[in-house]
This record gives sequence, structure tokens and C-alpha cells, in this order.
Amino acid sequence: MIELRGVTKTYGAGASRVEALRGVDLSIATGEFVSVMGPSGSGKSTLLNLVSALDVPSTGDIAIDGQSIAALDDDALTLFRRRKIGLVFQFFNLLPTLNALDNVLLPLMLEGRTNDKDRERAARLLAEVGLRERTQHRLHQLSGGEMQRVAIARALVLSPKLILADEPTGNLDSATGQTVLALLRSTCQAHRTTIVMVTHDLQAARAGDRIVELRDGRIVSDHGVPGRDQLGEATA
Amino acid sequence: MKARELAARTASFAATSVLALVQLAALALSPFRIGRLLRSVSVPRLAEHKLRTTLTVLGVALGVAMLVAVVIVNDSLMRGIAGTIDDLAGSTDLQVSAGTSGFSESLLETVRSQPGVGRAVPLLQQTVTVRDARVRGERLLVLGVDMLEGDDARFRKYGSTELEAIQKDPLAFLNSPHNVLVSRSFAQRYGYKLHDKLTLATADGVIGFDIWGFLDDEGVGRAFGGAVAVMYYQAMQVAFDRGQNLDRVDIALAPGHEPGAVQAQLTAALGDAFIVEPPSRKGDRLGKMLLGVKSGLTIASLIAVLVGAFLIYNTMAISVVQRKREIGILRALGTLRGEITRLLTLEGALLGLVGSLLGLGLGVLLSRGLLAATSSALNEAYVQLPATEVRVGPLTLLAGLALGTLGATIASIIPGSAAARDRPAHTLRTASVLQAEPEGRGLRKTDLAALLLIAASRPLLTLPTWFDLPLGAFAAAFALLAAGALLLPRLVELVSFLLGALSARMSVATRLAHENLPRDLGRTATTAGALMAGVSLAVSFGSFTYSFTRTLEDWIDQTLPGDLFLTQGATLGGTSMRNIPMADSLYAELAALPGVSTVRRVRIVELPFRGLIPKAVATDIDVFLQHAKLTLLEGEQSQVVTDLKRGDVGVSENFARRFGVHLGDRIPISTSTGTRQLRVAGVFIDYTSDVGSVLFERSTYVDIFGDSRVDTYELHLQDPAQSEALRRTINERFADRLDLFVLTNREFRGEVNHTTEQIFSLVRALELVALIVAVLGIINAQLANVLDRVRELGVLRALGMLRRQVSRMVVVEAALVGALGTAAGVLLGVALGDVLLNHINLVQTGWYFPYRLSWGAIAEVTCLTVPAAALAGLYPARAAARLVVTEALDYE
Repeated sequence: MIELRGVTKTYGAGASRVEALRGVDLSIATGEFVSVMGPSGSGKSTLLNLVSALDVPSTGDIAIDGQSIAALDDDALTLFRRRKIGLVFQFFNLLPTLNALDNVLLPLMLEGRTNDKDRERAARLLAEVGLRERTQHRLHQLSGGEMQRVAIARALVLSPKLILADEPTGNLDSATGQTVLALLRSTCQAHRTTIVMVTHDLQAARAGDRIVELRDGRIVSDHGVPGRDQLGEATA
Repeated sequence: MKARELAARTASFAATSVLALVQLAALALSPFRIGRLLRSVSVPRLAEHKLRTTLTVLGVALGVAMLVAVVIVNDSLMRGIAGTIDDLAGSTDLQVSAGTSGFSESLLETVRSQPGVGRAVPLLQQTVTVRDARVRGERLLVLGVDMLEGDDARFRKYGSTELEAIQKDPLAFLNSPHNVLVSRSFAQRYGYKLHDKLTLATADGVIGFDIWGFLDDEGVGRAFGGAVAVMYYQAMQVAFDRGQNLDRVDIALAPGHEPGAVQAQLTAALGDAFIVEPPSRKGDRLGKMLLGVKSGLTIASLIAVLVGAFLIYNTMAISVVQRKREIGILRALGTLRGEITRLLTLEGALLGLVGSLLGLGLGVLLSRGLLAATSSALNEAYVQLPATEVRVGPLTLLAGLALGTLGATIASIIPGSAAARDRPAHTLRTASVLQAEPEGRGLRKTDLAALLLIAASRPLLTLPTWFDLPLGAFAAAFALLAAGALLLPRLVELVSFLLGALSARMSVATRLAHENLPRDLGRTATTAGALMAGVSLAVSFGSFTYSFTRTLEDWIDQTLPGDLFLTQGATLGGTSMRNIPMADSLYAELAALPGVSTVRRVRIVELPFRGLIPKAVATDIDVFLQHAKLTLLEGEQSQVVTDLKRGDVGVSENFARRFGVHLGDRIPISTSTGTRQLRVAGVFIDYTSDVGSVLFERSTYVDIFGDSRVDTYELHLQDPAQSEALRRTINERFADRLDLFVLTNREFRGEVNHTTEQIFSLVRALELVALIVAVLGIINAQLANVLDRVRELGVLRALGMLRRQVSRMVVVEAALVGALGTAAGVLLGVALGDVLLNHINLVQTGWYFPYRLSWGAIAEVTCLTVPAAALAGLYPARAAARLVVTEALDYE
């Protein structure tokens, strides 16, 4: 599903040059749930930006679902991102001017589609994430956990092959965070969606199948999560 | 220098000046906390947002420039007039005058015999067109004075060696009625030498005058912008067919007599229809005549300043929202509420100061063009103005500086104190909240205030005038403007709600754009409010001019249906100050021309009445009624006609309204042989003069005033299709001896429209400035919106919104704000049009026009402002589309 070959990402030049990623090789299979961890400045956000097609590598190649994205122009990258990738952010990043249903519909609106079938699909997704009764609610009427579930529904509305989550539980209390992680887990299983999640929380990381650790722009460890239970809790 | 380069340099200059001034202020205040805050907080922020700083400064500058330009023009006009009056009046204590046709020379002795009159000298005055090719239509003020007697020299300075020689041996000079002295500056300007011929258009035709000397550039020679000719008054009576009439008697008081007492004595002796006044009062009177135009210009410029104030308020409010975190941190670190308020207020004041200084310079530059346009417009319709120069008084500059700076300061206090009010924790917590919680749907304080203002506007309209100014109406207009501004947030919500119903059919960019409108109601409403003010000015004034011109056209249809119009000196005959009356002898010649059916004579002169100058209109009533219609408000047609022929007069509607005169009343009219009490036969609709008019049957006029001259010959043809051919015939026959204009009916109407258009175009120029400032506000607000929503824009791009979709969203949002402001402005403009027409104009001119909404003005302004608003969104749209997605997502 995702192939990174010799990927580097450099910012700035001269004395202010920073190598955020240094020759990263990484393969992620379809349907895998990978957690990316590392301290501040390790390059995990940069890695996520590249895999999200929000940015392009300085050198190396990235292929997502068989498509190399390094040479795509901005419009092509944007459309690729819209149709193939779902994004979940730490701070939810929902639009305050839209209700829950319309926030879920946003990617479809960007496609120029909002017929009745689309609205039904969006409502179904909200029901799947436990928000059947909240479709017309505005953001100020939703809790943090509810907003994150709306964001997950939004990420799923175009049936993407890949979901990228940047600290999805970072702004939630632990109980709500667990609920969100369980939701991501079940989505991964039910839809065979590949999930890449950046987190600094080891507990959260164990919700995935695999943990990749970064340090100073390099992968320093890449191992499976042994004996996970259904809710993603790592066993001792 | 190309316009773009100039604009870029001006913008850079403005931003740099603001920064420099703030740094200077920071340095000056460095011993105090506020100085240190200025340096550490304000300077970096202003440096970071140079474009927005520049836009704000420019907005203030434009508003101040318009106000300063208008004040300079008003002041320069009055000083120019006063200067000429002073130069001509010299050491005159009192003047006696009585309208354009003048009065009999025999009254001079009556004046001289009054107690308290030391010396009294005669004077005639006429503005003429110079017909020499090298001078190209320049005007000259011709004075007829008794410069041979010693008395006149005691009144005014002539400064002429040739005059001294003439006074010693006047015979040769008096041998011809066509000998003149001209101002030296005029002669030098056009290369005239002693005994050159100066060709002038007079009532008897085009005549060559012999230059016998020059007047130095002092006293009389300096009057009228140095375009003066002086001749012996009796020669002028002959040359200009004035019979035995004078225009004025200048009086020097005998020692020990008070002007007030002598004035009262003379008024009693001569009668109501004569004006006896100190020379300065003439300037006041002329100023009154111009009051309508001056106040119109002033109101328009005040609205431009108001729009500038909106811009400042919006900028400061935006700045406060964007600096919430900064303000929260400052408060958390121990900065007092008052210090925050003072800091933000001081920033606004400094922005206003730089803008005002720039505005002063712009205003002086602008005033030159505006003065030329105003002089040209007023010359035709109101008063002969000298070639006026711009006079910039220090008080004007100080007032402009104070108003701009004060406006900016006040506009900054409100958001500044609001920012400081919250507790630091709340400020920090809500710093990145992009949308306040929606307000309830119930009645708000602003709604109540708006309703109160609307309710108050009606009683304000009924207030009496104050020094001839309809201040109540002005206050009502501003009350309505304020009410509109307060109700704008409601309109924003309503529009967004209505558009919400159509969301399903919209593109995502359009939908998100309209959904964004109510997010910051204050900002959207203020931005739209500025546009609303400008648009309301355009619509109200547009409806006013439309109502005026349509009514005038209807009236011309009814009263001036002639096929050809002959005038001399000016196309509009007696209503123009350039007019040169023609001899009555032309009547028979014109009537005898083949193809001419009837000839009607029209004479229009000034007629002093109760301290003002309405017009006397004399015409052949029978001929008039063969082709035209008299629209009567009082009196019955056939009786009125009979009474007019019998020697009664008719008065116009605005005359009746202004002076409280009705059918059957008697009014005192000054004539060359004394005051007559004439009966009012009827009240009719007439637009000859905005002061009012009195209609005479021609024979009555000639009999009473001894003036048989004609301003306009109106010809009716047997076959109107022969107008061109007859025009050629008339020109061939008369052009060499008369400064003729021969116009067809269509051309004549065109001239009327042109004259009114010249005056109205002055206000249009100010409307445009107000709209430009408002559009600057949209750029400012949209840039701020982009900055506020950087992260949100990053999210949209991350979710797959294309750059062009982002651009479209920002542009549509700007266009919607423009549409909102325009819609509100149109609604308000309709209401203000009524105030302007039926209250302000009615008071100032006495004319009543039925209110006609100008759909043309509405369409014109809408087609201008909405696209301009969309264009204003282009730059912010570009900025939004160019955001780097990853940086935007991290933006706080």
C-alpha cells in the first residue's frame, strides 16, 4: 500500500539547513494499522506529511496505492489526497460553520457531489461512529470525543484506502481516547483500510498492529505489537 | 512615473512613515511603560503587516483629503469673492444696489442728500467676453466709474500713470464711449499695448474698444483675478445700452455718523427693494447663494471621512482579535487594562496622524482640480468668480489633522477597551476560537438603538432651520445612517440564512463563503457598513439629480418648446452670468425672416427682495401661451393672463414658499423710478432660479424698469425641419456684429443638462472617493479573514480543496460583503433621497420635485461596487491559495 524508498526531507539551506528525514525506507501493507512514535524533532510529523501527500520528499520516492507522488503537481497531489486519503487531526479541525452532517459531507462537496445518496451515506457513517442523533448539531454542541468521531466519519466518507491520524487522542481524556482508538481499529478491520497514526502515547500506539519508532530522522525500530486484545490494549 | 510604481511608492512611504512615527513615539515615551510596550509590541506587529497598515493609513488619508479639499475650495471661493469685493469697494462704507437692470442715475442725488452721507459716487459693472482670437473667450470685468472727478479716487486705488494724465486732460478720452483702461497683468498676459483694439461683446454687438492705459496690480487692477477694464461711467451707459441707469452707488460716511444709522435712513428713503449694505455683506449674500452647493459638497466629504472612520475601526477591531493571545499574555504578565487600552488607542491615533498628514497633502493637490471644476460650474449658474487660486489657511490644515487623528483615536478606543476587559485566562483560552458563540435571536441592544434612531429621524426633520441650514434634516440623515449600521448584523444573518436554503445548489466555495459571513458579525457588518455609507450617498444623490432633471425636463417641455434659441455671450441666456443682453431692435429683424412663425422675447434679471436676489422674468405672455403652458398652483389661467397684462406679476412656487407670498398679495418691487407695490396674480411652477422668480408681461417690465433689452429670442418656425437652414441664415446675417449662440431645442436642453451636470459632478467625485475607501476596507477585512483562518484553510487544502477553489471562496466572500453593503446602501439611499429632496433641498431652494427613484443610479452603483468588492478579494484570495499546507496546519 505505502512504499517509501530512500526518502529524505530537508528544510532550509546553509547554516539553517535541517534534515527532518534521512534516507527512510518503509513498507506498509494494505489493511495494516501502523503507529509512528518518536520524540519531538524525530521527523514523525514530516513523515506523516509526506505520506499524507501534503508535501513531497526532497529525495527518494513515495508510492501510495501504486502511485508515485513525488512528481505530482499541486492540483494532482490535492486530488489524490482528496480521493485516496482520509485525515484525522489532533485538534479535529472541523468547520465551525457546518453542522456534523455537513462536516462529514465536506470531501464530497469538494468533489461537487451532495445528492441524497451522499447525504444518506454521511448519516450512516455518523451512525456507525455512534452519532446518529447528532447529525444537525453544531460544533459548540459537541464534546471533544464527539468532534473527533465526526472527523473520523469525514475521513471515511470517500472510502479512502488510507487514513492518516495525527495524534488523534492528543486532545481527549483517556476514556474518550480509548473509544476513538477502538473506532479506528474497527474501521481498519471492517473496511480493510490502512491506518498510519502518529502518537507520542505508547498506550495509544499499541492499538495498532505495528509500531515504528523514529529518532533524528531515521527509523530506529519497527516491530509488531504482540498479543493485542480486541480493543487494542497490549497485554503484558 | 507609472501609476503602479507611484502606488507602490506611496504605499511603501505610508507604511514606513507609520513605523517611523511609532518608533519615534516609542522613543519619546521610553521613560514610560507605554513607550516600552510600543517598541516591543506595536512596532513588530506594524512591521509584519505593512500592507494592512498601508491600507488603513490610505483610508484615513483619502477621507481627510476629501474634507480638506472641500473646505479649501469653499474657503478659496469665498476669499476670492471677498477679495474682489474688497478691491472694488476700496474704502466704501455702504453700497446701494438694486438688481441687474439697475436704477436711475437720478437717485444719486437722493442718496447724496441723506444725512450722514459724506460722499457718494456712481458705478456700473458688467462682465463681458473678450472676442479677440488671442484671448479665446476670457472674461473681463468692466467697471464704469466717475474717475474724472476726484471723489472716486478716494474710494479705490487705480495705480495708473495714464489715468493721471487722462484726469488732467480728459477731453480726448471722453470723445468716444469706447475708450478703456485695462489691468496691466491682463494686457501683459495677452500682449496688448497702448491704443490696441480690445474687442468685446456688448448688448449692441461686438465692439472694438481702444486701450488708453493700464492699471497696476493693486486695488482695482487686482480685482477679478486681474482681468478688469475701467471706463467712464457715462461712456459705459452708452456703450452697453444702459440708458440712464447705474448698478451701484458707493458711499463714504460723513465723520461722526454710524453706518447702522445711515443704512437705516437710506433704506427708509429708498424703499425695501433697494439693498443698502456694507460691502462685506455682499460677500455674505453671495455666500448664501452658494450655500446649497457648499453644504452638498461638505456633506459628501463628511461621509467620505465617516467611511474612513469605519475603516479604522475595522482595522483596530481586526488587530485586537488577531492579537488576543498577545494581549492575554501581556495581561497575564501584569499589564493593566488601562495600559492595554492606551496602547491600542495610541496605535490607532498614530495611524490616524500619519493618514491625516498624508491626507492634508492629497487634499491640497485635490483642491486645485476641485476648485477649477467648482468655479467652472458656479460661473454659469450662480456668480461670476475671478480666476481663483487655492488659498490654504492654517486653520483648515489643523482642522483636517485634528479630525482625522481624532476619528482614528475614537475608532480605536472601542475595540481597545473591549480587548482589555476580559480576564487573561479567558482571553488566552479563546485566542484560537475562530467563531464566537452565536447570539440569540431575540431583540438586541443594537436593534433597539437602531429603532430609536429611525423613530427619532421623523421629529428631527421637523426642526426649524438654523442660520438657513436645515440642521434637523442633516441630523435625520445621519441618524438613518447610524441606524443602518446598527442593523447590518441582522441583515448579514438574514442573508446567510436565506442563502442557506439554496446551499444544495451552490458550489462548495460559494457555500463556505456565505457560511463565513456571520462568523465575525462585527467585522462583516463594519466592512459592509462602510460600503453602505458610500452607496447610500450615490443612490440618494442619484435619485435627487434624477428627480431634479426629470422635473426640469418636463418643465422645459411645457415652457420652452421653441425651435431655435438665440442668446449672446452664453448659451443659456439670462440664467447665465456670462450673458450679454441684446437690443430689442433684433425682434423685428428676426420676425421678418422667412420661415419664422413667432418670436418670443425673454429678459431675466436679478431682483433684490428682502435681502435675497430672486429673478425677474419678463416675456411676451401671449406668444408664450400660443406654444407653452403655465402650470399654476394658485390662480386660474385666463384670469392670471388678464392680470399680468394689466400690470400684475406672477411668482414662482419657491418664491411663494420662501417669502410667504400668495395670490392677491402685494409685493414691493424696486424700479428705476422708485418702489412699486405690485399685485400677485398667481403662483406658478418655475425653475429659473433657486431663490425664486417673479413673472412680468414684457410691456409691464419695460415700462417699469426702462429696460428694453432681451436675453433670449425664442423662435417658432412654420416648419421645424428648417431649423438648421434658418440657423445658418441667422449666423450669416448677425455673427459679425453679435456674439451669438443659436441653438436648436435639443441643443438648448443639452446645455441645461450640462450646466446642472457640472454642479452635480462635484458630488459624484466625492461619492467615488467614499466608495474607493470602502473597497479598501474590504481588502483589509478579507486579508484579516485569511489570517484568522490560516489553519482552517490548511485543513481545507489538506482535505483536497484545490487552490482555485480556495481563491474562489475568498473572492465570493468579498463579493457577498460587497453585495450586502450595496443592498443596505440602496435601501438607505432610497430613504436618504427623500430627506435630501423633500427636506434639505426644499429648505435651501424652495423647489419641490416629486421624488423619483433612480433605477439607473442603483444599477450603476451596483455594477460598480459588487465587482469592485470581488476584485478587492483577489489579493487576499491569492494569499490564501498560496499558503503552504503543512505550515498552515501548524499555524496558531
